[in-house]
Amino acid sequence: MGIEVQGIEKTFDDTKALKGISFEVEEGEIFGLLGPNGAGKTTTVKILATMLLPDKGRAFIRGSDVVKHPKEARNLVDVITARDKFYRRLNGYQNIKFFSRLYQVDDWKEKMQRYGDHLGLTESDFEKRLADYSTGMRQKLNLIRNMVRETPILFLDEPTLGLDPVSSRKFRSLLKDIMQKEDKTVIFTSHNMFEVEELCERIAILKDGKITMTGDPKKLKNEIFPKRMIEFSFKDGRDLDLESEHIYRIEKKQDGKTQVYINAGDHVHDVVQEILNQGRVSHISVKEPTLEEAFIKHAGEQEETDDEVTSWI
Amino acid sequence: MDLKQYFHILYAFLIRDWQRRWSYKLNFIAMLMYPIVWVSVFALLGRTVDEGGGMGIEGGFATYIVVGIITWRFIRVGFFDSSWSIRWEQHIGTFKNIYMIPHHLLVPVSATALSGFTVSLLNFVEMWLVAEFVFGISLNLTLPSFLFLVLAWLSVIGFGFVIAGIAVLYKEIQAVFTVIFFSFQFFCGVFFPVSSLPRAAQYISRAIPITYALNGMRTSMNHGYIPLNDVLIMVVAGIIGMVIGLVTLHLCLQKALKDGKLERY
Repeated sequence: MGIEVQGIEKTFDDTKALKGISFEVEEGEIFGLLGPNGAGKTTTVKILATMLLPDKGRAFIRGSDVVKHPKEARNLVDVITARDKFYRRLNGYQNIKFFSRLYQVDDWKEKMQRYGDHLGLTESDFEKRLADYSTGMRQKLNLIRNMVRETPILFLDEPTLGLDPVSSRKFRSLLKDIMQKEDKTVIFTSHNMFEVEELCERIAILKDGKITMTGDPKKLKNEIFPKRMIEFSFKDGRDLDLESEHIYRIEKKQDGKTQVYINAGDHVHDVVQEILNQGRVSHISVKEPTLEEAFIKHAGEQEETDDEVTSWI
Repeated sequence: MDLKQYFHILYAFLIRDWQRRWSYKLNFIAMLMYPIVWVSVFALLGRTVDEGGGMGIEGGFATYIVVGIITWRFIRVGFFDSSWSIRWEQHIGTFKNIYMIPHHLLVPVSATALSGFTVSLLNFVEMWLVAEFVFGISLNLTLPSFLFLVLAWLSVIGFGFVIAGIAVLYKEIQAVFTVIFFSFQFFCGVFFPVSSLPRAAQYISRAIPITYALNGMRTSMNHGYIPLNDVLIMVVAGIIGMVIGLVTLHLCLQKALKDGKLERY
């Protein structure tokens, strides 16, 4: 097991940040921690990275207890955040060289150039002082700092915070690529549901210091939004003659379009196929909620209504 | 952790710190010039006083004050580097990456202090050369007197660790201790003999190890030996200071780990 968390609790003054969370992350898995501000994501990461002591519960990094054997745990993990800094007056090489010396990495230059090529940082970039780096360049160098160290476990705590959408997308794609190549065990926290959905194989939703849901993003979306809507129209304007146990409502719109509300799951595909079999369809679409919409609904604890199903369309 | 690993880390800090200093070219020049100006001002002041009849101080006031400021500066840098180490990394945002080294925090803290020691050493050599060859003020520096100076430096490192620990929990505390430490130069006989202080203040002087460091250095210069009493006091103060420093640092880091104040990213 890569990471094991058992009933972790943490209180700051009068605020209970974590109320006994438990989860496991397999070796090589990319696991997402989702939650609104103050849900306890960063607190969890800090505990796992031995930067914070839990009040109760235990956590293990590859079997090493993070409280009893923090040095062993630190040897296996690294944390990347958007707020990570370097020495501004030193250049890229000097910075990476310093940290590599601390981490006892000898072949740092070779690795730095290899990852630099991959991330789009050139030798002349590495010779620039960090004060002259853009946020995106700094975050790439931050990733290189970790890659040079080569820890098997990585915590990415909102790593794209502050990056513009283009840099954010590039960074995400590089992350995905590197994570897959290096086979790292990753815990990823973010407010950006899109990137969590894109990067993570499994996610946990943290809310008020508790894990309220765990699973793969698709399964969670289906649990939170158990209904889907298929909208279509036949070329000849005829009515739908369809009976399926999964359909619970059919609505004919004034513009000739028909909306079919069904239960989410694999049978969405079957219903679409049946509609297509009935005649010449001029338009058909399946409205799928995003993880963000699912998260917002889950975080807000709203009751689902048919109106709401259409609100995420 | 073996000694080889420690030297490897110490070397990393040394290189980083000198690269940083060198990157601020004008500051670097100022860092080299400042001790020269400093020793020159006090040497001239001392000489003026001596030419006007002196203050009845053994060896003359110029020698007295030059030894005072050279020793004081050497000790002061040690204190500030050790006390500021963690707080500085937290302040600029590199602490997390230093902390992730799989060793105790004492490793980077002491490495920073030792890196600062090289600055102390450089400044000391500059001041000594200027005093000796420009103003003709001989410090009669011997290996024992130099080792005694290093002992004096070590005696304040523990105190620096105390501040380093407390500063993790209370950011403002360092300013308070800076004021307290600076006040020591009035109590310890840097610029004038302790005997010229009011009697009550002299009790405070006797409680501060730096007083004995200055006394030992001056005795060494005037008589060629260091009083055993001063050596013993420095050793005891160094050991007690180091124990208190390490315990305080450990307790403060544990509290910071519990309160979430160790890393505030």
